Amino acid sequence: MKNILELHDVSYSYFSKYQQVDAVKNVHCNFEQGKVYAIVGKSGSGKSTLLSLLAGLDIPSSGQILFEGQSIETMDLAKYRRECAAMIYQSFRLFPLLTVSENITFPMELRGFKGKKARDRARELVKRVALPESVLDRFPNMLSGGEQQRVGIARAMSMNSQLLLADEPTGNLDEENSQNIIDILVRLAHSDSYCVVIATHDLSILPKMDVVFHMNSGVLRQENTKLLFQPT
Amino acid sequence: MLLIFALTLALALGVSVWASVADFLGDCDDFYTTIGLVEYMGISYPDDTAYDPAMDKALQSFDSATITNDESTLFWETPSRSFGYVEGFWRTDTFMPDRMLSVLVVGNVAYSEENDIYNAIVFDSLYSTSIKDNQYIFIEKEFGTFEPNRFYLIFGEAYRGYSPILHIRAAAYNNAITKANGVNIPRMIDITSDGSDEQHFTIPEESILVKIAQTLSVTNNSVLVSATNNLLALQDFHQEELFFVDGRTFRKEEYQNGSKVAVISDLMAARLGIGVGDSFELSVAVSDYPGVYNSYWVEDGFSYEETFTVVGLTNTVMDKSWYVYVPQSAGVPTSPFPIGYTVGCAIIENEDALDFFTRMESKINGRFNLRIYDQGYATVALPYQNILLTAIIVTSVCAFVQLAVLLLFGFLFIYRQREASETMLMLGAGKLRVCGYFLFSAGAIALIATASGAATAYWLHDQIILLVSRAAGNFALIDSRFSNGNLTITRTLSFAPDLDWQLFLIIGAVVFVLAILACLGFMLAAFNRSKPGQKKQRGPSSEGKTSPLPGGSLKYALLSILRGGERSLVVPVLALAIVIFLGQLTTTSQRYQDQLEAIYDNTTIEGYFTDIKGKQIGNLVLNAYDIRNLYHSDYLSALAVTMDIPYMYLGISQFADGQMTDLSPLYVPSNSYRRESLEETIRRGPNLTAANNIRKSPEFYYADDVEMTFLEDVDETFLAVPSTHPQVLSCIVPTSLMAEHGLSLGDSIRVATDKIITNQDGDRIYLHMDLRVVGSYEKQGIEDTIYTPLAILFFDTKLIWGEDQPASGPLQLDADFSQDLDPEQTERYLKLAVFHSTIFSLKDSHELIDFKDYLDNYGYSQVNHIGKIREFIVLKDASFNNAVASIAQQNRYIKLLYPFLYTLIAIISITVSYLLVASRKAEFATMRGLGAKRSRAFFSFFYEQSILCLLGTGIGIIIWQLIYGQPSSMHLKLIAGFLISYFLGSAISMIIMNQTKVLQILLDRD
Repeated sequence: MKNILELHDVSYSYFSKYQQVDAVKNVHCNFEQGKVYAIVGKSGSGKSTLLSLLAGLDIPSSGQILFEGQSIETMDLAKYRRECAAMIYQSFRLFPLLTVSENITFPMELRGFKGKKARDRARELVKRVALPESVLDRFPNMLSGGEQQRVGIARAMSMNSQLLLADEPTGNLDEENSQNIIDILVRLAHSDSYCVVIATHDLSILPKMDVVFHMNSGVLRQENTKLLFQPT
Repeated sequence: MLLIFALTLALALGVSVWASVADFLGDCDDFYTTIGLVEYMGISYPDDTAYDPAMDKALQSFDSATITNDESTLFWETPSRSFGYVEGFWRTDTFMPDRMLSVLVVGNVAYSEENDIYNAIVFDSLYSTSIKDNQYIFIEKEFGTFEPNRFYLIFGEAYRGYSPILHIRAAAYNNAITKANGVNIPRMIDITSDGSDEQHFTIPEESILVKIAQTLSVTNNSVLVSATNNLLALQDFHQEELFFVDGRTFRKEEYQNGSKVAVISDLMAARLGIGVGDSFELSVAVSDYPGVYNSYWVEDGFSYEETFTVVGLTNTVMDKSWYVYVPQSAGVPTSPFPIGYTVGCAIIENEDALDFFTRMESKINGRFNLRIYDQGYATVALPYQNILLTAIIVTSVCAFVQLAVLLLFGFLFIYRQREASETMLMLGAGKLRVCGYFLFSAGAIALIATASGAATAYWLHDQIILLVSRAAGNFALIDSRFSNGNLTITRTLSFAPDLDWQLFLIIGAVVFVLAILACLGFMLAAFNRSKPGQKKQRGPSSEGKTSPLPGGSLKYALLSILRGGERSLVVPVLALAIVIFLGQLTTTSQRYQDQLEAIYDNTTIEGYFTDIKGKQIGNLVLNAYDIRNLYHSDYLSALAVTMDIPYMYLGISQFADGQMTDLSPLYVPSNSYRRESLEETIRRGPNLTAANNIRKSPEFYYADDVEMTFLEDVDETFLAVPSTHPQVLSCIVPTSLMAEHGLSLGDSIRVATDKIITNQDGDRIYLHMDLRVVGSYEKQGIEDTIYTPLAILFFDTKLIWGEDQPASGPLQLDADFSQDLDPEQTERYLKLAVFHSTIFSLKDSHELIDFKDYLDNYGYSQVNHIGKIREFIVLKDASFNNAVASIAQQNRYIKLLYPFLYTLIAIISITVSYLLVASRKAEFATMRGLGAKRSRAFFSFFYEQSILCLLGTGIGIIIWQLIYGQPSSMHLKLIAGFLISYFLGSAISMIIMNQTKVLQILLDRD
């Protein structure tokens, strides 16, 4: 499989109210298309920060992130976010005053893809995340958490990027909904060749992951999944 | 802490100014007394003992309830006066009623052929203020024939001519009682004895002349008894013309229980040989005849006699030295007829004086006139009233802001720390302990801030008070110079407050307690706050229709507006309210400005020359040079002057049909005694008044209307425009004169003055004038004044009005004599010329202050304030000043308040828009996270806020237009300012958000 994302010695620090926080330290790894990655770790370990860096929400303090071989620092980050990396958030981050359809078509419109075609695409994406068409005209506050997260996934898919970044996508969901969401993401990776990176501390989803990274105090270490889940 | 310190300081200083100024105003109220004096501006005004039948008649329709029912009136008193007499007191003043009347026993009477007069020796002066026993006198021939070696009792009037020897001429005795009884008063009675008792003459005790002598000795030495319920409210005392040199005023109980106590002048006391605590016999006479001196006739005697004790002595003022003041409760009978021109005196609330004047001015009509005497209260207190109001506003704002800051303090120091308090509670610390911990720490901060604020205020308050005292000058809204609202004496009361430190301690303590209460409130709120639950999601409550709109910032903005629910209403409602509010502010400001302009445009301010007391408008001596300069000051639109000269009516010189008479001139008698007598008669005669506006002459100035009849094609402007008969001067005469001499309109009359000239025949004659009677008028007084154009007195009006005289201005008829005068001669000429009254109108009331500056700089005097030139001017601007000051005060507040309000609106606009945009941070972050450009995010929210704001503003403007009409340009400018503020707030908020890393926002949120 082709590497879609390469991280070379990526570090990221920021200043909190009282101190400098080294959230990500010398991370070096690759992400391939068609695989599901999990980054696990305790709260504050830096996994969400790393995911945000992958999403182009900021640039690393040092090191490089290469998207399809090109450093994202040299790219227009807004364009990168618009066209290359789609983010799914724990708190869904849907626009409260836009309908499901409008939420899904919003990234399309940013790319100049609007009108009926965009709405038809939204309808199609809703089906793909196993939501009924009837939700299209609903507002996010009328949906359950699981449904909202599916809309979030559909919105991410609408961006037509091959990189799906999910930050604690099941954090606010019950177990059943969590499994459904994970199944969707795994299917997207395995069937549609997405590169899906999930930051989570939900260990129950790890067996479905292709690659698991463990993050501790900003340091990323790859785990052997087979060893991790081998019966004792 | 700094904020609480600063606000405590400001609050304490505000309260200290408030308290000290309020205290000072209280002192002013005690120190000053304002009276409103209502007088009748009769023809003999300001004669304080005159009886004016016109006033008596007018009083019948005067309703004093207008004044007594006014809310500002504290006390009202009409004069209670009567004729009195105190045995042993004698008068020497010039106000004695019959000062020169004499009753004399004369003998050795001889006729002088040379002088054409009798001379005689006074054997017994029964009554005379000027002729004593054994004095040599002249007796006019009009007494009749005196036989040699006879003695006579004669009654006449003494007068002085050019010689040192006194003359006696026949005189009338005008006692109403004798007239009513039809008593015949002979000029002389032969009282030569028959020789049986070795006396040369015998004075007949029952003779009317003896009784006149006895009456004169009482009336000419009489006193005026003035009964009052408030001595110090009487104008003379109030204006400190009279003051106590010994003793005191009446006590409250003396006013109430009928005490027989009196206040007299020290001159009277000295002549009576008494002092404070001594007693005197006061006799009072009241008759059925008007006129104070008609109250007594010796045969009728007195109607009241009582012993009074002197409790106070006043200084001696010549025209008041014979006044006796007693309490009304003493029961002294009072004359049923008015004596003098005072209608009544009111004590009014000091601070309402100007409003009272404005209210009354329209109700007190005709010759009734109200004057306010406030002893300088308005000058002193009004600026402080404005300062007080400003201090109240500032203090209230400080208190309000202080309260808000204390709430913020409680919120920040207590409520924001609620997690710590929850933790402490979880760890088992009781609520009391947690409360104590937080209150102690917050209380310590509050204590330091409030204590230091109060202490600093105490340290600074002296300087602030000094500043206030200096600022008082700037707060004076009325320029009372030369104003008819400022005819008063000015008493001085200095603003020197002495504030105790306790006041500052109390303020500090109150702020501290409020801080603690605020903290306590937030502590309780923190304890009681509900546990955090599932956050309710925001969004529309019903399913929507996916918008077919094309994408973009505008679409997002419109969808947000349409689906924002109540959030979308906040901004339009706010904008609408602000538009209306700004409209109200500008309208209020504009209304005041319009009112001010209307007052300026509709007011013609008139002024007049007067005496030092501001009472007389005629009989003045006014330099024509000064009047010329006044007219040329360019501030005046009209000038009315009069010049008086006494005349003697000689007869008709030409009838209306053109028929001439053979009326002779008035030759100067060759006999100097005759000449003295004749000239004395002319000088006592009525006046020929040269005027350019009869309505502005002293006789008619206070009259409601002037009844005049004219020949066809003639009207009263003949005084101001050239006569159509250049050879004959015109005049208007009283109807009484026409009736007395059988005159018809069109006749020419000849009047003589006391000036001597030599005619063409070489004879010395008195200057006379032939005046064509072109009109008649109903006179207001008893004098037969003849009004003529100014040119009659050889006054070249060009010297004042110039060649380009206004259409209404006077033109001289015979003024060629002045054509060749150079400027220096003109000045000299004008400096010698005298006007006897001058009334003028201001061209433009906007220039009132400048005009007052001009008068001040020129040196004119104000009533009670003597300047370089002893010519006193009063401007009738009290009501105007009051109206202007009232609006100016509002304008001052507007000027103080409006910038604050505008700033407040701008701050509110910026804050609201900033917060509303900032509250959308999550959406912004999501939008940016999805790859939206900065500009897209910026305009998505900026459009939304702008549309909402413009929508509300538009609706506001439409509503305003529907209700009030076209918004003013100022209103529109302020709306533009508001919009800019609002847009600015939105833009700033978006720019700040755009500069924040998206990751930072997302991390904060998640």
